[in-house]
Amino acid sequence: MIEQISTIISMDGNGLYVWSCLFILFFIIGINIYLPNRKLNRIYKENKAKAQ
Amino acid sequence: MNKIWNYIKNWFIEMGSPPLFFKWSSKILPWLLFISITVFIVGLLWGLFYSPTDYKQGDVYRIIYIHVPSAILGQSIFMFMAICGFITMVWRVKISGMLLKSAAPIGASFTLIALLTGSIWGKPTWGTWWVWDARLTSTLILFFIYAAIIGLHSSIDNKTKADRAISILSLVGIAIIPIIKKSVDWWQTLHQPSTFSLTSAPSMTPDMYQPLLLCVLGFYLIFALLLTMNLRAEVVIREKNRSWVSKQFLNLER
Repeated sequence: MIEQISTIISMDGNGLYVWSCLFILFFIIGINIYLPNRKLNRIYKENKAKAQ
Repeated sequence: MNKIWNYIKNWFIEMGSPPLFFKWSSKILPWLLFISITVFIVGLLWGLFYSPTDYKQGDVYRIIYIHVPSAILGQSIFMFMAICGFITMVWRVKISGMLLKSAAPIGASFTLIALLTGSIWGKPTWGTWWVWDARLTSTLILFFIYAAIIGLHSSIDNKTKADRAISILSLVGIAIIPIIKKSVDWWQTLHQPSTFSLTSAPSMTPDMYQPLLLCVLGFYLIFALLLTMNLRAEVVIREKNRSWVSKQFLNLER
């Protein structure tokens, strides 16, 4: 089991390249999910404060 | 047939209205979130763990499951933006301008992913992070056009004028897409020929090609999700002083 995991992680000695690509993908998509939600939350708070 | 056409036409007209779009998108967003993330993750897992190892490149070829869908999306989003730009210029549909503005950062993000992952893939296979190759350089220009569109929109206060300005830029910038697509045929490049072609059979075996197709579909679904989220934020920002925003978004008036 541990051997299988280490084979997957090492990816034939190219693990660093493959996993860094995956990290970049998730990081950039994460930013794209976070930013519109931050904008919506800010307006929600602004409008709620105005209404009160 | 006429009934279906009328239904589609009415649906498009309804979606052109920001309050109706917001209401409709609230309903589909959870479904879109579930479907897109499922297809995206399954495609990546299949490609990264279950597809066979390439006899020449070994496991490093698995970057293809991130790089190729990102590159396809970077170009497709720009074509989508040019269509939105055309609609904005000709019919002046308000929401198409918002769509164009919302799609730009997503397109820029996927182009950046394609550039970075391509660079990382280049190191073990070509022995260098970057070459001023026709495909790489034209993709870098695409990224700069995206950046110019984002910058131009944020520099103009009047949003209607800003939408029209970026519509023109997207219609002019579309010329880069056939250059990127054909760069590997027109010039001697280090980059491999196109992975996807409508005229020839894929050069990959089905067990490598099928997860790639699923990844492309997953990436398109992720784009639909991100675009819906971005557009909802854009609609609320532009219409924040309208009464429907308080009713639907804030739920303050019941």
